[in-house]
Amino acid sequence: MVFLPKLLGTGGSFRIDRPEGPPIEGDTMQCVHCMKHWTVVPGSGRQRGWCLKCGGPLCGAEKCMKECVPFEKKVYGEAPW
Amino acid sequence: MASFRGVHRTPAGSNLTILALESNASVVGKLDQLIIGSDSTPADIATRLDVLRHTTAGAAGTAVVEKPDDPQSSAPACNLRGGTMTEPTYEADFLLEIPLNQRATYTWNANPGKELRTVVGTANGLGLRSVSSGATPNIGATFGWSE
Repeated sequence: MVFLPKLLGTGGSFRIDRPEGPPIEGDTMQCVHCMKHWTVVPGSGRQRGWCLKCGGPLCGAEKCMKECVPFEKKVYGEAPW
Repeated sequence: MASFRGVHRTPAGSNLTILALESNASVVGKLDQLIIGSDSTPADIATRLDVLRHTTAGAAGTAVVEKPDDPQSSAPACNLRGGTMTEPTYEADFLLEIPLNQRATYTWNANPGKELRTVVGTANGLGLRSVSSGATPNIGATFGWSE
């Protein structure tokens, strides 16, 4: 997953402005099944996933890993959350 | 597609909603920007903030003014509610978690197509909630969304 944000585009970006030190900037990625965003931490060891049907990253939660239900279907009421 | 903005300040605490974007019966709100900071006297107070999806809208609270980015734009379909309010019913899983020192300001921007979306229906929406906090500093939040 280390290079995926650069290859595939990220879900978003964040910036933390703090009184001491330079701002902290980073990327977030979005799960294609539940819409969750997480901060990309290369080398964190956190197990995530990839949906071959949706062609996008998965957050790693069991419900997202077990079944492919794109969040667009859930948003418009075509599938339950 | 029109974009809007809304701002609200309310003290942090345990499971207190700062700002909630409530959906419309047929229109989906797409949260694309989130800015969180504090206007309280600087102190090292840690607050855990979550963006969660709710399935029952909050009650009472403060009606937050929704400003269109384009002054010529029509009024938004979604509703903004500010705390302190009768808490909405939230889902267990959060969509974005932000543990933040009160001295810091956090800005998050979603890339196009990667916004956090509300589910259609007036009971549904997205809320920024102070889940826990070391004290009760004012938390100021800005929501930017399109619909």
